[in-house]
Amino acid sequence: MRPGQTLSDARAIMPALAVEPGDAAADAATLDSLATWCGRYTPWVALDHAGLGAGLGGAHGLWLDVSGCAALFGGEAALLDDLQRRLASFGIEARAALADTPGAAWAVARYGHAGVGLANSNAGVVPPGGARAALAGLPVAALRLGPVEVEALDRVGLRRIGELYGMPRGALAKRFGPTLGRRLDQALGAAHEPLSPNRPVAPYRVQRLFAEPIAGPEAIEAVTRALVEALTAKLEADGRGARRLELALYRVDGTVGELAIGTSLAVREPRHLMRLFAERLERLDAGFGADAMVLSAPLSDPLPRLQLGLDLEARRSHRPCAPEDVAALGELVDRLSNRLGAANVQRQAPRQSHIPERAVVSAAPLAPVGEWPAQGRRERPLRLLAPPEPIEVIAPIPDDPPVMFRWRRAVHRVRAASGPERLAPEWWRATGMAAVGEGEGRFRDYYRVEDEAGRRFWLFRLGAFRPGSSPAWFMHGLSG
Amino acid sequence: MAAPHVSSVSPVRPTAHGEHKASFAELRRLIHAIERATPSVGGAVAGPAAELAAPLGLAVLDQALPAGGLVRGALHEVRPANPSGADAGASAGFVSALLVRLLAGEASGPVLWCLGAAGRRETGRPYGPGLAAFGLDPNRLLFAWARRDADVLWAMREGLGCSQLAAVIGETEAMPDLAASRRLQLAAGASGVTAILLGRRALGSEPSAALTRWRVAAMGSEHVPGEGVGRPRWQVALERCRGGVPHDWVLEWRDETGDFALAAALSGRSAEPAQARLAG
Repeated sequence: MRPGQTLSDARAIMPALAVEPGDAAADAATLDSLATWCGRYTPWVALDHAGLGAGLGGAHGLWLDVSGCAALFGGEAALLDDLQRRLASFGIEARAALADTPGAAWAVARYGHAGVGLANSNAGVVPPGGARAALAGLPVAALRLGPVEVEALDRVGLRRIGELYGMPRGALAKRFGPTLGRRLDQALGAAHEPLSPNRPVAPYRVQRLFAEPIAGPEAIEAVTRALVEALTAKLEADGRGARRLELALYRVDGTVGELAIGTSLAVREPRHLMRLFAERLERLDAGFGADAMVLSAPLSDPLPRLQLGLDLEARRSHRPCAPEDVAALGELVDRLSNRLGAANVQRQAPRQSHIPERAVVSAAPLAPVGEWPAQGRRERPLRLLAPPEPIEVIAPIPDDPPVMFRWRRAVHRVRAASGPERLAPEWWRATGMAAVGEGEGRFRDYYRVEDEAGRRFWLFRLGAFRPGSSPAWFMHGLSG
Repeated sequence: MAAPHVSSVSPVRPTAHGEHKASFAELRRLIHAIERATPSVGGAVAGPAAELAAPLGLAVLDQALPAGGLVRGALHEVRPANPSGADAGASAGFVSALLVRLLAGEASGPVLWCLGAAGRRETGRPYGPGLAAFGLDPNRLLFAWARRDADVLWAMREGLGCSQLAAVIGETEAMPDLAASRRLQLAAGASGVTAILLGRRALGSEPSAALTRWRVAAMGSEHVPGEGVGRPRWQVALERCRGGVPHDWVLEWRDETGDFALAAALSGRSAEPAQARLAG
């Protein structure tokens, strides 16, 4: 039996055949998680599910660019052997090859083991410059050609790749289309073929491989510490600091545990980074053991970068703002963000808007923010309720402040009031935004009121008073 | 960081004498910590005494406080007179006023402001334009939105460990227990960062390591017919003050100058008339 065979043919050969429908989504998901797992070998992992047709001996595959990585695994042959051994232990039947070009590796992985040219199993390694020889005996389908081209070549008796070597290129292109020549060049290295990695490749990356799987939290922490130190040394050499770090733990069962931390300022202080990791390392469960850990910094900034939005002038006259001060604040922000969530550590920045809830926008904790509008806004409250809360109001005449209102089930009698301050809707903004009443294009009349107990509030009436209908009122803030 | 300090704290004894001794040692250590944090030379005009306390700018207040102001590098507590939430605006206003006074001194540097989720829901979030009108620079405020009291206290302790901050404000529902408040006090003492804790539903009877505790109630503003709502006014009681005597006052906040004024003397024990005049 072979892939691409019809079901009736297969049943004719083996009547007891068990049939299961294919699940393309599950296959893709499996391939994707396998690609993640392959990150233990190299960050450059590309998916190959070009859908070349079932006739090509397994359409799905992965490309790994292991340039410069093989030494870590004891050479190219050892790397390939390790990869196949581990895949086999997950129950995945896979063929692998290693060559100068993606095309040659693809060809040898799929057709090289058939006994042509390459004898034993770990000879999947094509030596540098050996692609031409290695491919010569393989069928033309190994050039990633479609069935149409393969058949066309077959009709003129061209069955092996080697038979194409001597052919004039112009004639080939004329007869069999442009794909053939391009694939041939790609396989032999005459044309460059870039791989687009499955995930962005972090510029800074360090890894540790373990001969014996590790499991305990102490071991994981110790390795993390070593990785952090190794990575910060790399960053230091380039004068940079990390903004984001990703830690990956490769388990023996083929799954990958991942953990990421972010920092508000570029950091390369191992103690601080370790502290950020330490709080979360417990979430990184090694399961039955981990055989590799990788730490990468996908995001980094030049260091030192001392621009800071927070007012950090000399805290006392004789203590000028030093880089250590900036770093210490950054560390504080990181620890807070790490536990409370990055969105929950913030500053407020002013924004041009009439709508009170829009006049403020949250800003990154350490980024510079704009100047606040000048003083003279005593009518603004110290606390703003979001969203404004509906209240019941008794107001005698249109445009008069309320004499009494009920908010959160308590009745307040108004002793003094200022206002109204009319705030027009921002008609230039799209409707449907969050502001109360804006969709109807209604203005707000704001009043500052003080109740009999001396409590001060900021409330508003939505729109003009209309005879016959009671206008809506809202509580929007508390004053000191 | 706090470990060496902890080891030198005498165990709390039920007797008043033991408590007093412990607090005395703590104050002395606090002074040492602050002096250590700042080089004693360097042409600074301000001496250690001015480093130690931020004057509140009103003579009757500063005289009631043994250090002549709000002690820096220490924990201060504020609670609303009515724990049901009716004095939420007043107590938030008073905390903001204390912060203005703290920042008006030499201290500059950011302020970490930690709030729990219930407080944000009930009383709203601090609002930049309003704070700016009150006399605070919102650009100096760093907010940490925590969920529960425990997170607020944790964030406060983290902030108090960072001597680059000018102050740490925390808003919780209940006041922390004695151990937690002592940890805050120790952290503040070690770094020299001032901590203000606002317990929204505090009852006032909780034991605490704070240097001062203030109780704030809403108070009607000066009523001038045709003028509407006047300046913020609160009834403020210094409930507890280490080394001082409880007092209460009716204070008015002058946002244009950023200081307190005395609206009226209520209690017989509070400021004498001469001091009130002094305050102008």
